[in-house]
Amino acid sequence: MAKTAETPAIEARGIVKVYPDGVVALKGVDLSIRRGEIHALLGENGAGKTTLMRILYGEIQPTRGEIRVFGKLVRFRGPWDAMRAGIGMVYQHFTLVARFTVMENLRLSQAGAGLPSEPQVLRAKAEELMEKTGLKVPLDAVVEDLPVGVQQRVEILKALMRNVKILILDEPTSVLTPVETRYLFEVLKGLKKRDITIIFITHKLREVKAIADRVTVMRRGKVVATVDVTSVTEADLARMMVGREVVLRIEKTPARPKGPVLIVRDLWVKDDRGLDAVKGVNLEVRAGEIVGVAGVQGNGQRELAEAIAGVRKPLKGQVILAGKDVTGYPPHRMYSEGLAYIPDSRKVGLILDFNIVENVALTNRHLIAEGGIMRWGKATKLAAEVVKKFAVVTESLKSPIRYLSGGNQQKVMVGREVIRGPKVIIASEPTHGLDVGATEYIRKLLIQLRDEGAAVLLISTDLDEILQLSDRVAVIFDGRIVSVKPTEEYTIEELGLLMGGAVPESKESKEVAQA
Amino acid sequence: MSFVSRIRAYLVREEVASTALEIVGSIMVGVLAGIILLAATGYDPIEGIYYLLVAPLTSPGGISYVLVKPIFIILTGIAFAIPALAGVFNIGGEGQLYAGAITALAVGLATGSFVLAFLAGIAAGSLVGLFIGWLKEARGANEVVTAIMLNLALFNITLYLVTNVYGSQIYPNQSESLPRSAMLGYFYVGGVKVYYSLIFSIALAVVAYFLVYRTSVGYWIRVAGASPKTAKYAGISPSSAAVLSMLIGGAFGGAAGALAVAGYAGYIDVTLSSLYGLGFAGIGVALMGRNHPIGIIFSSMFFSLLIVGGGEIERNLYGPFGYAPKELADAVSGLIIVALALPYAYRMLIARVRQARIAKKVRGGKA
Repeated sequence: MAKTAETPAIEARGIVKVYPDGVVALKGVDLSIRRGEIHALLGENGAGKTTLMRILYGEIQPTRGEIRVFGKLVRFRGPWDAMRAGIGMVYQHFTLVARFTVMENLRLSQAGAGLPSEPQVLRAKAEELMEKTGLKVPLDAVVEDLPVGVQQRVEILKALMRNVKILILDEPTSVLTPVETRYLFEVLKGLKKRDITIIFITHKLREVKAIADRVTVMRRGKVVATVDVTSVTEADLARMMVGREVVLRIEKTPARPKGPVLIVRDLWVKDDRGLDAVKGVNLEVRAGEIVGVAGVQGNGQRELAEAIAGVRKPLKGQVILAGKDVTGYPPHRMYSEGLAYIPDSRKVGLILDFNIVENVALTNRHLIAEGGIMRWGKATKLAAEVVKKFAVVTESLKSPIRYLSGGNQQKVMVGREVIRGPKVIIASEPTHGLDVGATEYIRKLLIQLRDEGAAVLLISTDLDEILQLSDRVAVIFDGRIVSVKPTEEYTIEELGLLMGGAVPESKESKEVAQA
Repeated sequence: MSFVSRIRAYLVREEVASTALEIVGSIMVGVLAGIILLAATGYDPIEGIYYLLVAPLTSPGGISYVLVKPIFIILTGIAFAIPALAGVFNIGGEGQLYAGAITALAVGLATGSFVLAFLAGIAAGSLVGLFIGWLKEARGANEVVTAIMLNLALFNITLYLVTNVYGSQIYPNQSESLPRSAMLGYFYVGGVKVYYSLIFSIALAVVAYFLVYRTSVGYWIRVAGASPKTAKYAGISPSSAAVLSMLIGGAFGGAAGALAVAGYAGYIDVTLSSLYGLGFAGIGVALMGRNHPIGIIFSSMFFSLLIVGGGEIERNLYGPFGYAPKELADAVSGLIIVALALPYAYRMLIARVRQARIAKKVRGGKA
């Protein structure tokens, strides 16, 4: 703490970022990073962490505001400017050439920065750095053969070779095993001793306590506070991260649930990268209730939903739908068995160049195709029903769905699932990117479906939505359900802690998960 | 709703008007470019365009001639279009055509039956298509590369068979001829000679239309081509759809080859000049016809008109340096074809690039 008197490594003032589509990502952010500290940046999805870091790295330009690096006012036109100013970035998705060796990657990066790249010089420098920092990497191995944790070390080494003074790490532990995480923390502490400033983006409370000196908490495009880590508890951080005022009120009567219609047992699912994304999830949804799955994005929600819907093959485990074991069924059979799945993106759920009828047919083929022939008459009737029942505003059933507003597209996507009277509805981010009116409509619809006896599994990173709609809430963290209980039994602070992974995995929490 | 307003609503809804406008506009741009080229090289541009677009249609003989090429390129056009709808670039229509032609010849000579010869040709073409599709999806081989190599291999295999196995005892420059029982004939309408195989080919285009827009398989293909992610969500395997589309595309390529032998010439010449290029022409025809089977019928007719009209230019257009060379005629028709295909080809390429980028992201993540 002796260096507090010095000029800060990074000083950002009044940063505002408005994206071209009108989204305000940052609403006047001040950030001060001291030289030689490890500074954590904590926040939920959409809090603006990534936008802020991309601005510091010169990837995007702020709409307003100024940035000083070591006291000098800077205006980055691109990452190259940031690199020249001594800033390095380690992304979640690495920027390495997979078929190259580590040395070749280092050389590429050095040459790109206009630094000396002769193999002998480079190797000597790399070995010296590895010796000093403990970043052990096999220099002649091909990158794609290395485990993810080692690839990350290559990324860090690459940055250090460029003599960075400030290193930004974007959710670095999301791809790491616990052992690799511990190793990374050791390395980062070592770098700190070598006077390298580290900015560490995360949503995991425990990591903030474990590694950071100070933490800046962000929420909805603003900085809530910057505090010394030693002066706060995990509970304080959780409260700062999720503390909120409710935007929208929705009337809802207590649920009258009946027997379970969706049972998930010990489900294991891998993500696209081949890593375990869902790690033994147990879950039950009863007819006539909404179970909300709360969690920060990327904790296995999408893989869980896709595995239940049959879009992704589970590694092991069971999915039971209305008493029938449907594990491993392809999606269209799931849909004909009474499941509805509203995916988290309209780009997945809809084909924008297809018209409404063709889009409605997508998940209702068992009602429309007969003997290999598409009965477009039936499809048109079904689409007309969807449009009428859900008040979709459109000129014609035959116009490409691209010409509809987002809210109306969403109504079609939800409506075509609901129209066939499913027993179980999986709704992933059902109001993502919608205006207030459409949001309210969809939320009311989900409650109405619950009252009509459907079992609803609501997966959402929007905590307001979870709290408003759910009868019970399951919190997902790192591919595991860490808690399930009635919504009113949670405090907001507890939810924040659970979403941040702060409750250690104990026997009790496992029992809760199975209840 | 009155009849007129109903038609108007239909035109707006199906985007017929905008498509028609695009096509008419493209032809005008192409013709204008042709006029400039003709004028710049010293020929009378109006006369040139007359020979190119009008002269072939002024005599029954000319019309008869215009109606020959569409028999084959309607089918090779569909051989390109159906895989294209599934997001696969079938440049192998040429090879599928050779396979269909030589198989139809062999079976026709052996059995004397048109039906068997035709079906065998379709089977051969679809096997070639299936092979390319399978290599792409199961082995990750780029379909363009394998198709080009297969085109070459099949050209030479066909050449070998025509010269060494099925060579004619009487004419040194062609294969044996099919018996009449293995051939489709022709008829006359007001002096215009029409091959039955043209009717056949148009009927197959209608079948293709039905397949693509009315059947489940066609729907899978269109969904998979439009968005692989959405296809997976709906329970449609994009790679199965791709393989299936190549199987179907190959069948149409094979049908084109079978008709070239059993529906028109009755034999294959030893340089394969009567077959060569029909598969590639299909790509242009499909792009001009917006990958729509019915559109392809019209674009094939137009393409054929340009080819015949090009001949008219060569024979009749006289300028400062004598009769116009073949290259000039080709250049003028080429300009019109490019202008017609360009808007659609551009959109298709953009979509392909976008998909490749997404695919790369998914695969890159796995590594």
